[in-house]
Amino acid sequence: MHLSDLEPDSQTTSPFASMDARVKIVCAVVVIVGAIAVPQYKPVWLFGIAGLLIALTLPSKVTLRYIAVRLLIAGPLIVVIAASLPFLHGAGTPLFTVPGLGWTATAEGLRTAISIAGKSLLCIWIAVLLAGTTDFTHLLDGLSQLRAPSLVVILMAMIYRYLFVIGDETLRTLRARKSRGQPTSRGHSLKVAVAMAGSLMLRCFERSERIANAMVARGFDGTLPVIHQHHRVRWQDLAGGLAVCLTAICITAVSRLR
Amino acid sequence: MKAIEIENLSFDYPDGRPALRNVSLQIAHGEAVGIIGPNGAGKSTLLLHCNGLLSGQGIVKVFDELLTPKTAQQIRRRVGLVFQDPDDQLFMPRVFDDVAFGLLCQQKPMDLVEERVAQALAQVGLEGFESRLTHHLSIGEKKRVAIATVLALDCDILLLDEPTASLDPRMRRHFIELLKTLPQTKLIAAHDLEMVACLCSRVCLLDEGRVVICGRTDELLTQRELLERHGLEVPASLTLQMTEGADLSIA
Ligand SMILES: Nc1ncnc2c1ncn2[C@@H]1O[C@H](COP(=O)(O)OP(=O)(O)OP(=O)(O)O)[C@@H](O)[C@H]1O
Ligand SMILES: [Mg+2]
Repeated sequence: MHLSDLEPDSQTTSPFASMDARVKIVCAVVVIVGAIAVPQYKPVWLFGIAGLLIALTLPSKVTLRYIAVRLLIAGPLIVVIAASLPFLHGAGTPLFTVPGLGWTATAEGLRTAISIAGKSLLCIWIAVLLAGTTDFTHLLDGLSQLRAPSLVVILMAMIYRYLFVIGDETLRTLRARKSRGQPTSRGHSLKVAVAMAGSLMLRCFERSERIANAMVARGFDGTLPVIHQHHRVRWQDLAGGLAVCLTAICITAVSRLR
Repeated sequence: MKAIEIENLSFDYPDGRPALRNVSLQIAHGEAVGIIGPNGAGKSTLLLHCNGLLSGQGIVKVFDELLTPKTAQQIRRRVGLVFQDPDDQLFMPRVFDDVAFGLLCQQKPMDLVEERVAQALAQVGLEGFESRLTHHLSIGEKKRVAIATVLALDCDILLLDEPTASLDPRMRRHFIELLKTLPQTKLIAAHDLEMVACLCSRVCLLDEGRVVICGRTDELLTQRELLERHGLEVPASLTLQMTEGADLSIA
């Protein structure tokens, strides 16, 4: 991934970009809870949520690549967890047994596995959609306006800020190395890479010390300042958000009732 | 009243490297003093001592108050420090949040904060930069925001570490003029001796953690041999003045 991937164009060009971040955050939470609340044994209803997400993704200008890359990052973990699940479900209709190990997969277990994998992917998709259509600083504003703990908000802000500093530092180090010539052998290049990673880590550590100094120098005493600005939520945003939330709630409710 | 009084200050970094040795220095209220010296002389280290971010053996007093871990918090409100590397100083994603940080720590009301932030940004020539992202700024712009973060706090003492490094000539000039108009006490560590000559009435030459000499700027910055011995050069503007003076005396 490249650094510019942290701020895709869709964050500014998307029709959802100007929507109130608070509304988007609440929507994301509601849809995530909705997806999780779909009963384990009825994974089919997850397609309903997926449908909602497709309807939101198509006009959002978030590229397929942006979403796919992020789903793929989480993919292996989900696959490992899901793959073990069919065997963990004790009672149920046996499907097959792994020869030698004696593990038996059950139909119920399989359904749970599909359900959990599906839910995980949907949750990531929702988060990616939120991140892809919202400027990060708006997201932080939204969180603090929704009274998220200030420690969390400031930590996120600083992580975001220094991702770029460290990213730049890495790029500079790589460039400096390249300009001084290529390593001669595999072993040599591995050695260089390890040394570089080490020095980068040390530099991050020392920088963190200097940042702490900078904060203290400006009067930071352990309590974090929070900005509570109050803007009215625009009614268009509210209506849009309500529509998304209600759709998700309906899908979940129907899946649980039937 | 003395703004800063340092007596016999010595400091070693935790890895054992000696950084300051028996430094004594006094700065009067409203005075501007330049700290000059080669790389590694201990200039930045000395500034960090002046608001209690580091503490070594010896005495540091700010406005007649002894700097101790207890008093440091109170004293820092009156002493603003601009770091050498703006990436250390600017830790928030957005310019506004960074300039406002110190004010918010003092729990100032929001409308005052907004006004002061706008004012400080205007002072460094960055009007309307409030919502810009820090990592999208050039190094010089970051440096200016870093300076604004301290100007917004309205401190009595400004500690400036290489304030003109990586500014373009016009901005550097503008900035020197700005510093000239600020009434605060200033302690400026710099390699930019031209700026020091412009701003400071007194300079202190530091080398290997020791004060080599302190004296009036016009007297000290023209001593070619002394400066060259410590890795520095007589600033071009002063050389010109000197040769002009020499020509006159011959004529
Ligand atoms: N965090 C640290 N740990 C160990 N030694 C340090 C640390 N910071 C600085 N030093 C050492 O202390 C000495 C003084 O450093 P300082 O940064 O004060 O120099 P300086 O005069 O500001 O130099 P420059 O002009 O290059 O900014 C140097 O020898 C330096 O190597
Ligand atoms: Mg320095």
